[in-house]
Amino acid sequence: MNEKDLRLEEALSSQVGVDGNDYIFTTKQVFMVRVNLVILKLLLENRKKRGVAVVLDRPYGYLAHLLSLHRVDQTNLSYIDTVARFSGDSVIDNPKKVVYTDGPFHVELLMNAFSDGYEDDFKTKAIEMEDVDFILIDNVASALTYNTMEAMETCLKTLKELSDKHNILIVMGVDPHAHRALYGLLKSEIKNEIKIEERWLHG
Amino acid sequence: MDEVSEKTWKNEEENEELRENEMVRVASGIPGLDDMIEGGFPFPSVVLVAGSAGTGKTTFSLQFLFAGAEQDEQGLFFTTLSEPTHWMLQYSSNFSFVKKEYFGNLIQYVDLGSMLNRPVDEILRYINEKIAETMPQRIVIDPVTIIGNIIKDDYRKFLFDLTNSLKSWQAVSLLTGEVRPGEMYPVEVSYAADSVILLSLKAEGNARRKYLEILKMRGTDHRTGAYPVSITREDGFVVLRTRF
Repeated sequence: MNEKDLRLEEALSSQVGVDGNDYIFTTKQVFMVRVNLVILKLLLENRKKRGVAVVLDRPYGYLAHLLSLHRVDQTNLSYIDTVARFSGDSVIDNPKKVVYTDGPFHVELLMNAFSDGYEDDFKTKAIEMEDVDFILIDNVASALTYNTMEAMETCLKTLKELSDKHNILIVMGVDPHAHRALYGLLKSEIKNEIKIEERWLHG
Repeated sequence: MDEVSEKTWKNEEENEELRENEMVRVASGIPGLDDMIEGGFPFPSVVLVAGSAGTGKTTFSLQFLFAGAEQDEQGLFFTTLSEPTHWMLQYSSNFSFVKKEYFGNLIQYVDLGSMLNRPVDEILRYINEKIAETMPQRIVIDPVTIIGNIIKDDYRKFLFDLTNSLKSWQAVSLLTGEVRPGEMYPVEVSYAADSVILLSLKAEGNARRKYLEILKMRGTDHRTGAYPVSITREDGFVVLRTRF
C-alpha cells in the first residue's frame, strides 16, 4: 500500500467500529474498490478480526488477488461469491474459503449462506457465525441490476438481524449521487455514516 | 387515491427505480463527446477506439487519462510495440491538457512490449498484477491490436479474458486498435468491447479531415453518424458540432 492508502486507513480507523456495529461509507463509485481494500486491511490486519466479504459485482478472485498483491493476510477472510458461476471468468483462481451462490439474483436470500440463515439448502456449505466478526458488502449498488428495491430491503433487514444477534460489524459503501434511492434505504436501516473526505483519498 | 393519481404515482416509482438502475458514467475528457453518449462512458466498461495511423487514437486516450487525473482518478497506460514510451510522451507533452506532475503519479506507464513473446496466460497475469498494484479507475492499452499480430491463434480467447478481467477490476478501459487497409475496424476486438468508437480520415478536396463515429455503445443512447474532430495543441481532441 502506498502513503495515500495508509493515510486513508488512518482516517477510517478513527471511524469504523467506534460507535456501534453498522456502517455505510459514502464515496464516488469509482473509488469504491480502493476504500473496500483499505477497510479490509484495517479489519483483518490491524484489528485481527475474522470476517466475510460478500462480492456482488465480480468474481471473488479479483478481490482475493488484490488483497494478495497488497500483502493483506486473508487467513481469516471468507467470501460469498454471487458472480463467479455467472461470469465465465477463468483468469484468476484463488482457492480461499468461499461459498458460491447461483447468481446475483434473489439478494433477499443471500444471508442464508450463513449458518444462522433461514433455509436448509445452504447449511452444508454455510459460513459459521462464530467465525465472523465483520461482514463487508462489495458492492451493494451492483445488486440493483438484478433485484428489486423490496428484495434489497429484505436483504438489509436480515443482515441487520444477524449483526444485532451475533454482534457482527457490517460495512458497505454507496455513492449517494449515483444511487439516491439506495442511499435513502441504507440510511433508514443503518445508523452510522462515514463520509469519505476528498483529503482522505488524495492526501 | 383516484385512478389517474395512482397511475402517476406508480410511474414516478417506476421512473425512480429506472434512474436507480442507470449506469454510473465517467466523463470522457473529450469536449463534445459526452453530450453524444448520455454524459460519459459507462463504468465499468471496455471501449475500443479504432482508427488508422494519424487519426488521434493516442491523443484521445491520453486526454481521457488526464481528465481522470484532474479528478484524482488513477490512470494506467499500457504501451505495446507502437513506439518507445519516451518518444510518445515527448510528442504528447506539447498538448495543453498534459500536466507533467501527473506522470509517474496519477498516470502510470507500463511497457508491455517485452512481455509479448511470453505465453498468453503470463501476459494476462502481468496485466492483472499491474492493475491490482495501481488500482486505476482508467486504463489504456495502446494499441491492443499489436498483441493480436504476435499471439495470433489465442487472440480471441485472450481478448475475451482480457476484457472480462478489465471490467472486473472496476475501471473504464480504452483499447486502441489499428485499422488495416481494407477493414473498417478490428473485428475481433469489436466483439469483445462494450463500445466501439471509430476515428477516420476522409479526403475532402486536397485535404483529409478527421472524423469520429460511435458504432456501438452498450446500454447507452448515442448519436450516430460521423462528426468532424479537430486536434490542436491548445484544445487537444475536440468533437465539433456539425454532423456530416
